Amino acid sequence: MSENKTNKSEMTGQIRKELKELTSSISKMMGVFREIRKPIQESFEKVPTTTQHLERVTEQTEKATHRVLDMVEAISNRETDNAGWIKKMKELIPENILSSNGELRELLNKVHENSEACLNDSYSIMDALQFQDITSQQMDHAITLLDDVEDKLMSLLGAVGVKNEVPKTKEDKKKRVYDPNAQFNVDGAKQQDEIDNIISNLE
Amino acid sequence: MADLKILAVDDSPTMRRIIMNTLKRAGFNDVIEATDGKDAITKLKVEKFDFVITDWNMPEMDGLTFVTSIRADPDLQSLPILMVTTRSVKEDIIQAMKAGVNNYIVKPFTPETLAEKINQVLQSV
Repeated sequence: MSENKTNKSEMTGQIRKELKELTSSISKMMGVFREIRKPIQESFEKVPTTTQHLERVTEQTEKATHRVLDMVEAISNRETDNAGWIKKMKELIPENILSSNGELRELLNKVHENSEACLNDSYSIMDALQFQDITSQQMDHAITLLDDVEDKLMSLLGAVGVKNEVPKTKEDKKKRVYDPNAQFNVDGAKQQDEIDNIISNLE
Repeated sequence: MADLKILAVDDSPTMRRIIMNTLKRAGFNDVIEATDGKDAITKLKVEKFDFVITDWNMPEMDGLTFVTSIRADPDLQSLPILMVTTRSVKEDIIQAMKAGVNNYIVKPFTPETLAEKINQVLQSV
């Protein structure tokens, strides 16, 4: 009888001890939750700002690209005119004057060559501006990844008891279409050769 | 060839402008723009075009769906289509060719490549 009493008392003591440890663990866990809540909340709040910054980069790069395009178009139009005028001048100056004045012929040829070179350079600048479409796709990919991070952080915050404003649904978020592998390949000709090979093997 | 009426489909205003300029330099002056597949379909229903240049990644209707729609339309199915996209993965190229594009260019492209591919497509159809 007294042995039973002793066992009961030992068991009660053991349960009390375990309950105390459990309470202490829960208390510690709550402390950890309280500690991690703040950085998660902060990270969560930073995502929309980061997204806005990236969107602004795309917008500003696009605006700047169009400004460059405006200028390049103006330059190429002027150089096209210049090349045409020089050609016309060569036609208007009588051949006997050009033959007798080698320096004048040489000058006209040099101006013509320069004009053609400027025109070709302006075309090259225009072609290089394709980078803007490619970088905007890379930005859209980054923003989509950030959207995923935002969703995960929101779930985490929900799990640690923080209620946020109504989460954005997929419909609320801007629809982004992009190639996740888009890249500005400097050696475009080589890349195109590879594409052509794939196509010719299909035929 | 210069009389060719071309529909250039791309959601990027920058790319549309570059394509228009490149085509103009190559002697193609009759070029109309569309912002995505849906816009392009609307334009194809009201105007007659001889050639289509299309991007792949676009909102509303992507390039692949657009190409499939054209090939399924008895009035448009023989329209030559050149795809100009950043997508360079082999599987994508195969998918686009199967959908019915006549040729495929990867961005960034050179004006020479664009003119060469347009000519190749025109000779093959």
